[in-house]
Amino acid sequence: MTLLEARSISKRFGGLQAVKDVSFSVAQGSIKAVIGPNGAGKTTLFNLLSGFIAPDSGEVLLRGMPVQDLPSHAIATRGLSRTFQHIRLFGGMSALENVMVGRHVRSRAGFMAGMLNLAWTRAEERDIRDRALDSMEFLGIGQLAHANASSLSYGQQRAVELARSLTSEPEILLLDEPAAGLNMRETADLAVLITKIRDRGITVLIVEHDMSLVMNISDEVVVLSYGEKIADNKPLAVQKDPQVVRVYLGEDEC
Amino acid sequence: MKRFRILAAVLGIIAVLSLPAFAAETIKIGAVLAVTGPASFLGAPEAKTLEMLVDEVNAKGGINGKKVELIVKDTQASPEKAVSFAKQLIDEDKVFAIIGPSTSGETMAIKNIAEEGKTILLSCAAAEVIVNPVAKYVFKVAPSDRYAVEMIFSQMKKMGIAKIGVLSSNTGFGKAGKEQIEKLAPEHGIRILVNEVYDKSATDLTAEATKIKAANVQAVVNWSIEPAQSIVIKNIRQIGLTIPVFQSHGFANIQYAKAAGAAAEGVLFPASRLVVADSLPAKHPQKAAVASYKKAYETRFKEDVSTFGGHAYDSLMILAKAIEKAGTDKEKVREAVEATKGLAGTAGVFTFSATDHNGLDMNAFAMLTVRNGRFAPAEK
Amino acid sequence: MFLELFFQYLVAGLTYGTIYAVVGIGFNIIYNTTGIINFAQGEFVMLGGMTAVSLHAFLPLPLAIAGAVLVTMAVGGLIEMLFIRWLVKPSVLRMIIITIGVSILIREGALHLWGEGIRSLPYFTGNEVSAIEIGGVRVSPQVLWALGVAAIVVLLLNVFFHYTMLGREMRACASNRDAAALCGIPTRNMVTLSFVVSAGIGALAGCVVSPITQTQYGIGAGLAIKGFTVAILGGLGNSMAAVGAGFILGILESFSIWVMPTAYKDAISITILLAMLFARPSGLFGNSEAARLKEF
Ligand SMILES: Nc1ncnc2c1ncn2[C@@H]1O[C@H](COP(=O)(O)OP(=O)(O)OP(=O)(O)O)[C@@H](O)[C@H]1O
Ligand SMILES: [Mg+2]
Repeated sequence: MTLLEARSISKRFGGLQAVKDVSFSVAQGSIKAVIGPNGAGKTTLFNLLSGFIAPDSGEVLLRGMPVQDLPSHAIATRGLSRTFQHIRLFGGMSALENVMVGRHVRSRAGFMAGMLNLAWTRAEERDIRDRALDSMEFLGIGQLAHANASSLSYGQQRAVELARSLTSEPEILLLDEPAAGLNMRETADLAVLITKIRDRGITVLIVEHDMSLVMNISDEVVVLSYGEKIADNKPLAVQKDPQVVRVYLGEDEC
Repeated sequence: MKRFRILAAVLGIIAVLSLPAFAAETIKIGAVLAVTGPASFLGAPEAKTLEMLVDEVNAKGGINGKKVELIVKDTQASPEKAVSFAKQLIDEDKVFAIIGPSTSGETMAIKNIAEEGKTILLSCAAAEVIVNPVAKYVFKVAPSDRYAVEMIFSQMKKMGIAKIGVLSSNTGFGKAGKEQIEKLAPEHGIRILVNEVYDKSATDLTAEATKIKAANVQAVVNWSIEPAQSIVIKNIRQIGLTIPVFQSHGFANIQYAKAAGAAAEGVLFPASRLVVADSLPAKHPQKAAVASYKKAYETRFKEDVSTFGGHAYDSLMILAKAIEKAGTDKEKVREAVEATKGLAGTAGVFTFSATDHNGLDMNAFAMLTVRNGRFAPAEK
Repeated sequence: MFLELFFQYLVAGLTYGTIYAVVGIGFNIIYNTTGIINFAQGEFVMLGGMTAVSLHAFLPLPLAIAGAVLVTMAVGGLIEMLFIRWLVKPSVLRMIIITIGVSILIREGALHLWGEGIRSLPYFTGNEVSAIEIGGVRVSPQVLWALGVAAIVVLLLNVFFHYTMLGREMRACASNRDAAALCGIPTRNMVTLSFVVSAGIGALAGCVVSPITQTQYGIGAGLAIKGFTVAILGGLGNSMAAVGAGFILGILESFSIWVMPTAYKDAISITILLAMLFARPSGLFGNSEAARLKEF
């Protein structure tokens, strides 16, 4: 079943066609990768899918519902979560608080209830805390819960950001270069982690430059070049695709 | 020929019919007032008062049978506007006299213009410099701050007070009062032990009150027109100081007494008799002027009279009396104004002279206090 | 005598400090979510006081205050929705200019509605002359009320911002709007909410200081300057720090009056303020983290 689908979406920045007429779909429960050289438009594509920017034309469908005109918080509420290529944590808040905020999508407590601290709000607050801690344990950063988010190392911050996304129990998770800055061992751990996330029933769409990671875990791979989709296939097929080899693998492997 | 005579007769009739309009030339009086803007609390009641009085005078047939025409210019308290309006009134409208401006700054800006234009100026502002040095054509009807200070000092003498603390706000009003207090204190045998200037937007003055307390003075004088004058008496009482508190004539607005509540009780301040019009004894010389103005104004405008409107009242009355006496020759009227003697107005009994163009003294002020939340004469 | 005076000046300083603090707190909320100084904050204080005085004509004091807080909160929310919400990516400068415009608008409206007369709420306990005396040092009970209210507000805000989902979300918004949106937080509503909460706190401050400072249509600007000063001095975004800074500034001012003419009070306090900011640009209690904050 198709969970997320892009239909001929395009985005132009001034004279630059960052994304051009791109269509593809992500099947529920799969891991799909988006690859392409620097500046190919991968992050822009993620921004379009998650509602950070609106496409000039085309549609984005989440569970068959058009969402391209919705603000990003509304798309998040519909089960799409993402991480950023450049980490965006809430500085000045603890790691745990960061992760707890991720639960917003699934919390109900309103302002008045929050202030009055009604019994069920307190229960919910505890539930949110527990779930946040669970996510952090799952990612192996449970011991960092009370550290200030901005004092953490780069890798730890990535993990906190991921925990924040996971805590919202998204249907689909968009990861923008999660392996950037990680060493080989950490990258291997990440691969395991992503498959575990998929095994929890969360669909994953990932942008990544690390080819071994992409080829190992992905069910399918989309290749972008200058904003255009040039391939969309199984990893092995993509690796053999002559056009891909020319524009991308060829220059990246040297 | 016959037809020609008829024509002549008709023309004659028309001429006769239109004659009164020619003969009863009007007296044009200009007013340069801060009707709107930051000093509208001065200019607005002044303009209303003039409008009311001119209607009254004209309804009675004018002055010496001549109607009065009032031309009001709104300066919005800007001296620059006052200057251009004054020039316009003198050069273009050729007014007989000018009433106003409302503020001292504006008055000083046009003092010379009136003098050079040989046009009588009756200012509604209080500053001493308006009439000192005397300018031939420039008069003022608002009592100088000096009189208010003298009134306070004479009250202190009665109470045996010789050591005082002085508080004032950093406004023109506060500064003028402070200067007069400093200047006149030695003549009255009074020593100033504390002399503090606070910001006009002060929201609490407990520390200043503490300073007064520490200095062991016998009384405090506060000089301001801001809400601070209510705040300061509260703070003085709150820290347990029970010495007499004197305020300026700026306190003569019941809202300040109300805002200070229990702390206002017993505060002493000089004020125009207009403020206590109702409790003025019938035989008081100002009773008639004060009572009739208050009644007329309050009936017509449905708001309380203010001393400021009273200044406009006094200006026009002085001018009208002088015109009645001297006719419509500007020079003669100016002499008549200068010769005004014992004319009871709202601000006091005016007696002008060649050297005194304010015509008032300390008796322009009555010493008032607050008793049970209301203004009352200090002496029972 | 010296000690008694010392403590009396201290009390005076606490009085000033409480007024500054209770006004200063309000600045932090909007700053926290938007990174702007709301120059209309003083007008919220004024509106709260004025509305409460009007309502007190026919409502008991606690209800009048509650009503005034609610009315002002509504005004705060409305202002955000009318003047700020529709702006697409407004610059900080533009937002500040808008809040200045709004402050003028509210002030003029208040002048129209209430005239220029001064009013005040009655003292919550006692009256204009009553004071609590401890060893010759006297303090008006209203100062204690204001202190208490400031303490409760700070406490509630801390609970709200740290222990409720909504509060955390407001902080998240302040810290990173994009990431907050990604977490499903409707960031614009958070900005509205911050105006509502700030207005409410301002109004409450306006009510509790009204018997001390009195209330007039124009009082907001003067109060806001000091409130703003202590908010900066404390380190923006931290209400506890604003209170601490309020007391420091108040006590400094009071003691400066003790030893020098009052006229120098502001010069002294501003000099100290500048010196402190020079030494600690992020405020007395702020961390550098909070200081390199937020563009819209
Ligand atoms: N907001 C923007 N305004 C103008 N140009 C932009 C904007 N965002 C991206 N671009 C441009 O669009 C192109 C695609 O950028 P994008 O960030 O999507 O590439 P990418 O594939 O994610 O690259 P990388 O691998 O370096 O992350 C680039 O040339 C970039 O400079
Ligand atoms: Mg990218």
